[in-house]
Amino acid sequence: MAVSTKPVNLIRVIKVSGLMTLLLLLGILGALLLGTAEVGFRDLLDLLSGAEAKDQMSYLIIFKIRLPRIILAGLAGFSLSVGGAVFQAILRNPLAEPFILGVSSGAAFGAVLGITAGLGFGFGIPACAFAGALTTVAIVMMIARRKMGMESATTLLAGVIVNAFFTAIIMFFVATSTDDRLHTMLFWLYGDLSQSRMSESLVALPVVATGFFLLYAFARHLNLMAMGEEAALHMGVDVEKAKIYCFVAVSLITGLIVSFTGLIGFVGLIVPHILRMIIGPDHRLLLPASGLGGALFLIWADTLARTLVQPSELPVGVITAAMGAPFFIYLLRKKGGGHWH
Amino acid sequence: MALIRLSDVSYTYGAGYALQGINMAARKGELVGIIGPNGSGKSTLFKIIDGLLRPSQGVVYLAGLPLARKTRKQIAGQVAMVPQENYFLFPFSVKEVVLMGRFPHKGIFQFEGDTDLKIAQEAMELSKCDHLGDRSIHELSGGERQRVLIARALAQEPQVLLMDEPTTFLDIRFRKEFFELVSSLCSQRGLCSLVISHDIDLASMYCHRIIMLKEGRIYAEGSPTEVVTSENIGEVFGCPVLVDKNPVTQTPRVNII
Repeated sequence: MAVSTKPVNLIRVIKVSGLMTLLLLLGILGALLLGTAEVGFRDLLDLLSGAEAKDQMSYLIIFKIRLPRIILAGLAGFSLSVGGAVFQAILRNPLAEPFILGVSSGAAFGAVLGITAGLGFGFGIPACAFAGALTTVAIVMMIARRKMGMESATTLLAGVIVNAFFTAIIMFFVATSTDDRLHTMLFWLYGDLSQSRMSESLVALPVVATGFFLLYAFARHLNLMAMGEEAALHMGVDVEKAKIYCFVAVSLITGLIVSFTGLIGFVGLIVPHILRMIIGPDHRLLLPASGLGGALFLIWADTLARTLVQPSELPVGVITAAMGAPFFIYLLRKKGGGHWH
Repeated sequence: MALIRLSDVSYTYGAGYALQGINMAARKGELVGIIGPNGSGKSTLFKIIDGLLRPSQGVVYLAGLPLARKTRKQIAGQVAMVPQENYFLFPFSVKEVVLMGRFPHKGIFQFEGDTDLKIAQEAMELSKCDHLGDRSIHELSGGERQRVLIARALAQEPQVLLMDEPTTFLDIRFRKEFFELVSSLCSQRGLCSLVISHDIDLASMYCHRIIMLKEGRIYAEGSPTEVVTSENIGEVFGCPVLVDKNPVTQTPRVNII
């Protein structure tokens, strides 16, 4: 078991985050090179260094097609992984992921309504999805809310039940919809980055940055809350306040991301687990590392999604689940799932 | 001066009283044992003293100031709790767990510095777990974990230490060591300690004073010899006993008959 022998300090956080950022940048470079159309490494470097484009085609492919998609994939992976790490600690459950409070089913419900109403991918569907996500989270939090505060098991259960309810409604729409709309719906439900545009990333970036900043302020609270709520209270954590802030922050960023990308599963579940095994459980280190690792993971999953079955394309959710599940099982077997008692 | 003082404290739980008309105080350097049957209000009393529950009536004073005016963080800087057991989800190292006790003394985004490391080290030495510092909390035995929890509580630098049945899962050697440790912390560091224990013999050996609860009220209070008598135990616990003296320590010993 990888246990950090040295307590986390700022220098270690900077070192690990720096290393992960470097890996991420290399990963982005690699992802930019791959695709149906050939763009050479030289051409890419020339383009990135801002030199005059020799060939208008390469310029368009890199800056108008691949880069927007990579950036949105990165932001989505970042948000979903951070959300997963936070929810696993707060709900003290290894299966918790950013969709647990109903972000996914709510967003999907909103999106499917939007698609059925004939709205476009431009603004209408994302707006519906975002509204659906936040409404569902609000409903789940209201159900889970008790006199003594929100209890983890109740919260989980409320999430599962609300998810089931909305999934049923979505299935109803899918079953009764016409052919061309069905394809749009399914792509959205499996998660899809092929429609990414730079304007979406420009909207998402400040929201994700603010959300992460807020969550990082609670990193130490999360360490203590993972020891149980009563223990955290005794050590001075205002548990209710911390939980509400974290729930709202995660719901906002994942809700927004989901509205652009559709439902991408497994990232938020698998990335924090892997990183916890490597760098230890302290959230001051784990949150930035999960974010950067999640970005790298999703960028590459999407690169595979768009290159594996050229010239056709897979929804990225298919890749994350297909890659994630076996790898996860391997890790669980190897480590014996040791840290979940 | 009394560090902890409860003035006419009651707590209602649904229909009935969980605690009723509690008046008590504990001083610096004092080790007070709280005994009583299950459901007599011992744990509720601790939750009231630690501010997790608000009394329905009466006031709790912590170092002379009303507890109700303090934030969670302020309370945790003065009152620490050693639980019966803790649940460790992640494989934090012992040192990391002890450093978590520094939470009430740190600001947002602030990392633990050399001072905190020194305090944690001292706490681990006091509770004799400094040799475990780099081990994962998951690898420790029950007795070792309990010492880590004490170290974590000490790292909070509290004036008041609350312990809720801390020795339940320990074998007799660790139980004795536990009480010896707490007793020395009280006398040497001036800690005011309250311990809930079902081990009446050990509590009688080490506590300066015993408070006996029955159905949410204080039934008896005083030195172990005054409180731990056959009559009191028989009446409060509803179980006939014979209390004699431990032949070595001369403290009360409970014999079930």
